[in-house]
Amino acid sequence: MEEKIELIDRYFENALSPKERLEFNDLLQNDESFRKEFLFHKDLKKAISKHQNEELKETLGKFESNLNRNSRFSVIPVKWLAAASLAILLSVGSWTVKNYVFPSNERIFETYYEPYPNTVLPIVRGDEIHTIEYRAFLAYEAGEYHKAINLFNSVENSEDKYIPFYQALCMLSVDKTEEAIQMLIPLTESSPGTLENMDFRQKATWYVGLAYLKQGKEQEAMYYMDILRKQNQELRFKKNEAEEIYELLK
Amino acid sequence: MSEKKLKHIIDQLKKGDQKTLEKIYLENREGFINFSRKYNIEEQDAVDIYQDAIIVLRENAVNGKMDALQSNISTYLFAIGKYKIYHNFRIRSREDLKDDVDLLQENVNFDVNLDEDVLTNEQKVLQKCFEELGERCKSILKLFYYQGYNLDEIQDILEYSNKKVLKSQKSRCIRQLKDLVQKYGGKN
Repeated sequence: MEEKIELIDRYFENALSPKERLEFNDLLQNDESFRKEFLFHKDLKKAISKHQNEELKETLGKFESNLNRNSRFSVIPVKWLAAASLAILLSVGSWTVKNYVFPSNERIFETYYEPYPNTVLPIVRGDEIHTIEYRAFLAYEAGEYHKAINLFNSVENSEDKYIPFYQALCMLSVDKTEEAIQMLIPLTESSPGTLENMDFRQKATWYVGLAYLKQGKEQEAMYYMDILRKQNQELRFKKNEAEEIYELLK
Repeated sequence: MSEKKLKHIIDQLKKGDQKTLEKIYLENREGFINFSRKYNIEEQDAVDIYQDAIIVLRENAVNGKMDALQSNISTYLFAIGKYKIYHNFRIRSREDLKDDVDLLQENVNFDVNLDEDVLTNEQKVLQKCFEELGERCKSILKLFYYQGYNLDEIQDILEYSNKKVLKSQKSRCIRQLKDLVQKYGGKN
């Protein structure tokens, strides 16, 4: 039997000599046990292919869900971003080099600020609109910040930390900078306790820092960026960005 | 795409390199969905077809059917997708695609399994049993039966001291597999 197995192996290696091929065909026709053995290996090949394809299908599903998650979070379509950055580039073109070397606080803010993605309630197209909270996030994602502020105000169980957080981001987006700061500061001071709390503390710290920057209060901005750039916990939210801003302000 | 680069990509596909696969997947996805829209295919269906096309792409790479490929990967991938659309959907403007598909079949060594590789019962049992094997056996059998490496190459890849050891390991795996099949009430 060992010789026969050898022959079958060589078949799968595509390495049968003409003489071996004749022998192989002869066995296939006349030797039932050989035929059975060969078919087993052939079936195995097919079964493994199927297994591999199913595994790949799973992997592709993961690519797909990563993709959906990212696009759900992005508040502004990529095309608009591209158009916007082109517009900025064009308008910046006439500026002096000085602006690049010593960017204004406003410019630093514009560069670094983007509304935090909605990580609370995934908005799925075609969903029926249910709660106020859902509608608030819908407005938030659509960039309708005034509407979102009002809706967030009406959310009832507002002890959830993310409500004031997202509301503050709306304020920041519509130039109610002082209000945003007042809402965010308590969040930067919340007790460390859980990882989730810590997470919000860091995000709030980042946005307070940016808000102060927008107001031109460099010392305050530096204070908050300094906290972030010195993070050494597992969560290092915006650590590098904070470092960059700190260096620019120094 | 230079010939060298193309060959490199196909090699990576053969090896099952995930990064390469992800790159190809992401680079062509949008384009394919837009293309499908022309035929009124819903996005979800388009994604399904696209994923199947990617699977065929890898399978063909592994089976050496892309070794002589002249066009670039995207063209090939789209061709597979078009082929699937052509066969799976009744579309009004099939004629548009027909030319493409004919051209393709004449020029490329092309194999699209339209029956979504349906397994016989024996093969299904085998697949299940294969999945129960240890990692060592799985990788030997995958390399040999799926990726098409010969025993000498596998000896190198898995760093066996000699071919004999590998051979007896492989036959132990086969025996183990047969035992499992027996347990599941198969005929072997």
